Amino acid sequence: MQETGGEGVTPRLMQAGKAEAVHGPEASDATLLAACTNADAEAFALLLRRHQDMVRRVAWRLGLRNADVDDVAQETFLKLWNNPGQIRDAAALKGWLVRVASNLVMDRFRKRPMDDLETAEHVSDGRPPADEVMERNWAAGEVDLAINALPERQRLVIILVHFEQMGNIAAAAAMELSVDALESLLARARRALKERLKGKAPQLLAAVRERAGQHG
Amino acid sequence: MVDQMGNGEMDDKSLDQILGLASKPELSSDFESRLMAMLPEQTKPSAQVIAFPRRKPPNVWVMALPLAACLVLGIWLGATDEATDILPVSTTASAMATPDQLSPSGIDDIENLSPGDLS
Repeated sequence: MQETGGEGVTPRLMQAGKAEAVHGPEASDATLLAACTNADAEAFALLLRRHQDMVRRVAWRLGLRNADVDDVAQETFLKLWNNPGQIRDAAALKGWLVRVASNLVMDRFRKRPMDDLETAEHVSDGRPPADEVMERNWAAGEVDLAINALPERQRLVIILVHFEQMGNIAAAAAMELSVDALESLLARARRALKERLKGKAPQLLAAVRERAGQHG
Repeated sequence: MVDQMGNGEMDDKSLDQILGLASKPELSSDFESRLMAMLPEQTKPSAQVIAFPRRKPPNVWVMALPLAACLVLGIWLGATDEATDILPVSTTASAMATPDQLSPSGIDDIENLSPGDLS
């Protein structure tokens, strides 16, 4: 962060310059996190704007839909708002958000059937019904089903590395794994996806070409 | 690429392309405003810090003063022989006795040392 200041600049102006830097779009995550420890809602709003889509996409791709996605994202960001000091290194913020959100999603999947089984006639796990997915788009549905069929950790590593374009080091930090373990997990996930999709690969690749033709 | 599929193999590039077909997340647009409206309701838990009562450091001078006084008194008593008037005679007599007045205590002081006399 560049600080304004110098000779002839009054302290008040310097403070104004700092405040502008804190609340400006160029402010780093570290600056915004530090401001959040003083309950600075404006700084928190900037952090929220910067990372909310990523958190919600991860929750969505892990299988939640509609209000459940927002509930998980909300809970994640409120944890951040209530205790921003727990993130000691701002570079770890993205990984922390992913970790908290994915844990909340997994908790929901584990708890929900047990909570609702006795009272509800129809139990939803938050994922879209398979027939709905199939109707919406055959190719997308097939890929979604293949991803959703992966074990939790393999699904998360595919989401982080493939869909969120996180590097192996960042993804490993987010999943609290060593880079070697992450690469091994990623290789297993990709192998499982290849195995699951290989029977439909010609049709899926035709869909890829069709989509490329539409965009091209 | 399709030929490779026919052999049951799929390369990494094909998998990446196929993964690109996955559904796009559908996200609501008013999430940020709803969350920001909740912030004032959030009450941060106040930190409960229980401080242990601090032990006062002992006052060194309070202890040192009587010790110093005892030392000075002892030196003064020793220098002026005043202790002979204060302490019991049995104690002071042995301390003040000259070597001549002492009872025999070593082998040189034994008058008769005859190896045959064991009775």
